Amino acid sequence: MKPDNIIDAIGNIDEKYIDEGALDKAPKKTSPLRWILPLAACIAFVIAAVLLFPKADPAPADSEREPVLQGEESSEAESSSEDISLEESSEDTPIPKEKLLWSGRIDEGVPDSNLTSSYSTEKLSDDITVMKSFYKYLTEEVAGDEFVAFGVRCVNFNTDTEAFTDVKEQRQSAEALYKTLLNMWQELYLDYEAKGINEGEIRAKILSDPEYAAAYETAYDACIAVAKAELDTRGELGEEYIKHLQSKGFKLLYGVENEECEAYLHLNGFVAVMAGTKEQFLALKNDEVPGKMLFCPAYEDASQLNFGFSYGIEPYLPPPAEFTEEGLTAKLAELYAQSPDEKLTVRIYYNLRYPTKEEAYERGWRSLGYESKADYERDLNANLLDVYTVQQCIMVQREAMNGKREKQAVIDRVLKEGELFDTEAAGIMVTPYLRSNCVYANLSYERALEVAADEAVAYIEIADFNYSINPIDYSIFYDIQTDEPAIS
Amino acid sequence: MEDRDIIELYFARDEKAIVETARRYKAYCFAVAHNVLGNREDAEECVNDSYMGAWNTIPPQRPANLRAYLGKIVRNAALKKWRSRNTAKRGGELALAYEELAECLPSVEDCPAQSLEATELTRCINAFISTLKDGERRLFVGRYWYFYSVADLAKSLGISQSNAKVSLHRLREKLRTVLEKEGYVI
Repeated sequence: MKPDNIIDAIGNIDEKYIDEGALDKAPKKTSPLRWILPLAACIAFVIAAVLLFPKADPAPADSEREPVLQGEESSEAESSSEDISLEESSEDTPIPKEKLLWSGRIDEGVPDSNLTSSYSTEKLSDDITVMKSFYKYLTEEVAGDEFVAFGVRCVNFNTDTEAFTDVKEQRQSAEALYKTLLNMWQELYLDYEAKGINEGEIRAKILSDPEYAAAYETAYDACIAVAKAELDTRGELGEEYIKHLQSKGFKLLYGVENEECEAYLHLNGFVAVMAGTKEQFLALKNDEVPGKMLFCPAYEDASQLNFGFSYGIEPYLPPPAEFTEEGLTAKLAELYAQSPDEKLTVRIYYNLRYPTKEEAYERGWRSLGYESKADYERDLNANLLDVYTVQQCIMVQREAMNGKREKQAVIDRVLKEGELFDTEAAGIMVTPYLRSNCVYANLSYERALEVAADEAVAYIEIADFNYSINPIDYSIFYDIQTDEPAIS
Repeated sequence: MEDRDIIELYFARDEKAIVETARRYKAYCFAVAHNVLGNREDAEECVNDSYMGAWNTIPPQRPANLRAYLGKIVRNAALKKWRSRNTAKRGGELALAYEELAECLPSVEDCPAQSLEATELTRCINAFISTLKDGERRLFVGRYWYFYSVADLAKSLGISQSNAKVSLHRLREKLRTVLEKEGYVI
């Protein structure tokens, strides 16, 4: 029996169980402290508010759904108990979002973790650069009583070397498994091809090969295990550190348990968005714990970020040896001949020279108007650049590293209007921070030949959108939901 | 507006039924769909589909519990979407072929043998749930009907996450034993 059967059968259980099982009907074993303290704080605050602001304006009606912070009046009572979270005592007078100073954003929140590379030193140095600049911004431009929202990101800053090494080893091991899988596929493919079997049958044969299936399962499990292990490690670190911050008076705005706000948790490592005053924030500079944690400027619109995380693997596979230009042309002709449609969706593989790291770096500082690297670094090191400027520069560098401009130039040159395939509408994940090496387009046979002949195009192939199993053309994307809806 | 009034609107084929359903149960339906899909847009689409599902099935159905009835519809819609999404991402040819062939098969409702089997399985699970203690029942239904996260369930039930995980593990073992006794091969 498949899990699907059980999941479906459970879907039809007695409605009384369904009704009572909803969380809003579940009784909570609440500790008296969980409501006595907030209630006491609330009463104290109401009394203070009546005394101090007898004609205070009511809170705007739409502030209910805004992220809120308690006022100072409640913070003392609350900081005495780490168990009391922001949401649980939200009856306290909130500080509306408008009064909250969002500290900006680092990138666009797209997962860029790649199985083949551990958390890169470049990325880490980006983060440190932003943080340096953020401290300056905080010190010079933020008033002492303003609340600053920031993301808590669980990165092992190489201080927790054991965990870091574990993750690294797991990744290497998963990478090795994928390479084994790839080799196995290629060997089987060539064997079957030599026997004159057509591609469709080859795929079916390989997929039904028990040895291949076992290797695939092992590799896939390893991959998931790696992701989960990393997530768990960071999750645990995050929980520990959030508690620590709460004990220092910081408030949790978006946490992993905050379904409504949808905290952002994926391999980039954000586990929560928290807020504190400038003083509280700066005081943490000398805190012992942040050695293994990293603060990040928070996202302005964390509510748009998804729960769970996505993990993308898009290795650079060289075209198989049999994909010669002539072979490919023949293959295309065959496939187009089989197709009843005039146009087919093809993958166009770029033939690009990606900018070097130094060139990408240069594009970054030039985008800020600097004429020389020395000038840029002088200002950067003197903390003369604000956080947004530094972020902008880093974005330009990353886009350059990923060949964004070069790819766009190829697309503009080889494709005509209306030919670009809308990957988003088709549900294909695009990971701009990876060096995605192809673009999709709808082309007629004649146009496909024209495009393939362009020197900026390495080769093209028919896109079948068949993800995951076939490593020859694979792009493996999977989502780990908040938890997988399956019974093990 | 009470459930019975909303149901009357459905019976009167009054489109206000959908408005009132949305007003009362949108958040609930969204939570059910979102737990499955983890994606706001998809979840909203499922919720909208579920209103249409209710409109198309009431009448002749007259749900005794509108909330649970809607929950079932939206859960099914969300699971369908989740499966199709995952098939598209990692299904491969076999899965596609399976899907193509599946189109030729009658739906479970149309196939007496399969329908009977599904009903029988649900009966077993209902019987299993009825033997559970209150907290266990909420945990099981919360996890496997609503797909709440372990963290949310633990928080809601006032137990630790590890406690919830262990309890769920034991519940699965119990269910496995029950199903094996009933002759299901797992």
